[in-house]
Amino acid sequence: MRIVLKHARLFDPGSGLDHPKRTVIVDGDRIASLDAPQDAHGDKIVDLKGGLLVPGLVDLRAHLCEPGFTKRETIATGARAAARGGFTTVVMMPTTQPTIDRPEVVELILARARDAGGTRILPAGALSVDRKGERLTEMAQLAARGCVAFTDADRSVRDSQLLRYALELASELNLPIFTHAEDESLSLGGVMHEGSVSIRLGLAGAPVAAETVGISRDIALAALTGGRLHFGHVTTAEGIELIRQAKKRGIRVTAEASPLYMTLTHDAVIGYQTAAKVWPPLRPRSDVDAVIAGVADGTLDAIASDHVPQTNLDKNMEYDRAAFGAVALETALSVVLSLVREGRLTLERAISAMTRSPAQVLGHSGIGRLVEGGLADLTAIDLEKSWVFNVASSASRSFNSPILGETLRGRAVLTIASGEITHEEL
Amino acid sequence: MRVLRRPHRHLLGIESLDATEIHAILERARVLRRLIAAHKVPSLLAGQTLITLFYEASTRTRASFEMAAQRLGAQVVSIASASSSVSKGESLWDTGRTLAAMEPAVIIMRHASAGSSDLLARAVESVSDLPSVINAGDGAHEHPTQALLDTLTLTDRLGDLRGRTIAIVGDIEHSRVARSNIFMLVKMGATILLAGPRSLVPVTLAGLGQGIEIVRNIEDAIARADALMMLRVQLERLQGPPPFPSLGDYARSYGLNPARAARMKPHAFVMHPGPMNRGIEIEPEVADGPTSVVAHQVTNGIAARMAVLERAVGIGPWGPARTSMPPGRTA
Repeated sequence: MRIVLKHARLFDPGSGLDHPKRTVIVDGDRIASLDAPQDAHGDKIVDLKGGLLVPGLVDLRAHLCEPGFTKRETIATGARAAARGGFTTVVMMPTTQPTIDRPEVVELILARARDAGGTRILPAGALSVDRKGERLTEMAQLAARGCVAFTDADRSVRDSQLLRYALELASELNLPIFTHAEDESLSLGGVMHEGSVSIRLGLAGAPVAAETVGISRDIALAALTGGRLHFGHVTTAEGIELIRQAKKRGIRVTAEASPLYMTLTHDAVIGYQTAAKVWPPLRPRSDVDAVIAGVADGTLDAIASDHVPQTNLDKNMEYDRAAFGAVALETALSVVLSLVREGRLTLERAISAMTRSPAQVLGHSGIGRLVEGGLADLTAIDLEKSWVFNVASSASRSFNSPILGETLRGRAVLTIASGEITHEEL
Repeated sequence: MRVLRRPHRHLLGIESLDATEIHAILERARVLRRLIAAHKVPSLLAGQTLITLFYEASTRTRASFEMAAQRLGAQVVSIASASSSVSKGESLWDTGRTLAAMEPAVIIMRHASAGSSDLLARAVESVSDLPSVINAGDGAHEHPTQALLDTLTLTDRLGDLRGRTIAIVGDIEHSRVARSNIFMLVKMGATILLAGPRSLVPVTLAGLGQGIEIVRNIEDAIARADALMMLRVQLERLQGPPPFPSLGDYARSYGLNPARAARMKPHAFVMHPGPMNRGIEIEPEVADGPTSVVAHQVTNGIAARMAVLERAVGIGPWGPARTSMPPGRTA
């Protein structure tokens, strides 16, 4: 199929492009032209009316729950939600049952992803067998089948020696290790951020130090091994400062922020709102500001959705017993654009953090930028379009979100992955 | 049966209760106390059914609520979690909706999770406009009737609490009694001293309201207080390593022994919400001594809970039959 995108504001920080009124041609799974004549012919002509056209968004952290937890999400529903959110590539966490610790699981996931069509699902393999933190998975086997990173997802790797070995082995495969940095003895029993709100609500808190101790340890191991270490969902000002210093010292670390931690504070938990029960926990305003600043100055390279679907059954219960997590694939871009409107992030940095930078974290040169002859992953964005994030319009199987029902501004109106239209709402 | 359709009148915590409401409950409790003494308690709750739903073991709170209900002529249905559908895995949401559909006047719940009474209130409201929810203790969050009976006890001795200094000593972080009393005493305008080890009395507690001071030295707290509230160390709520070396060490540093009690102000007195760990936070000589008002607290608990039940049902001073506005209600 040949698609002609007319009157596009071509915007790609990774390639240094910002051109109003370009005509772009997609032919098959490739970009045929980024500067075609306006009267170009195609099977489908789309007039973007000056709207933004950016590289397809790349998500480094989503839980798609299949196999094992398909009441929460499936690869098909997750892929559709991703497309609606403007994502063309999603790194899927190994929070599946069985976990992604053997080649058969990778193959099953990739087969399901092919059936789902469109959105590129990249599995992150488990770092340890069954994510138990005891022994390494056969990373080379998993990498050969298509795993793009290794991680125990939402579990920190308690055994420092195991993480050291993982970094060394992943280095040989030239793949990154994603960590969830946390000292679990400090956060034991915690269900929210330890601070002024937890003390008021009588809920057990996890201190900032639980994250910073984890980050410090992981930086030391990255320095020791020279391996590529990527910090998932960093939420604390002190943690970001540690990463900033590590980068200055030349240690190969990258890091990501998630939209929720750039907008909501721990106040969102007041009233025992289980929709705001996420892990790491929502933090005070000063940390939220530091996360935004960290993205702005590039200390936090990427913005990842951190999409964690949970059923209503697992959320509509006592706060301390409710499941952690919030869906975010469909709302991530809108939340980030709200920060651009407020002047907290430049559009350039915001888009870069969702395209070029996450592609670099993965070491994937074929995605996250617009190149003639390159993969046709494109997302058209209407910066002004108002919409309501609600159950009826959501493609995800779950709708556990603290911003459910809110009116958001700015969204993906057209998503093209490998030349296939995966979402259209012009 | 008098079924009064009205907005829910829950009692979920002291933090969300305004001072005029608190004074209205306390005033009614004082009246009821006189009526009890005179054997003239009106059966205002005759024909009403109350449910006690206790997910955690309790001796005094449950007995106190049930006696309060009986004194007012109400029927009580007791549900202990071990024998109910809870043990079959029913969620609190479903339990709340089921019980609400039976239209009791009040559901009184104790539960190990902070915020569980808020959840129960939402579940009840989704079904019926009848039952009011009374929180009899939700995790480490609140225990509002304990704070009401404690305030009744404090005002019996001290009158107006403005300008008075009340010390709360012990495991404050994990204590719902402490939280409710802190919210209460802030509203009453008292000075609140919170004393205990750093691991159980975090500095963030000072942010709960005006007039809260963290005091590390228990001797200072004892010397300044008009009343001392001793709290139990709640070992069952702790995970990980113990936050202090041993119970003996805790007792030596923070326990109220006769030598420390001797340094109390002449008029000062000692309170304890129970259950007491004798020999740890309080020595028997002090617990049973002349400065202890523990028994008085328990007695006051009945009157305070009777007033709370009347409010929950919307009767007595809160009833529609009265022509004048009940105390504490605004139009």
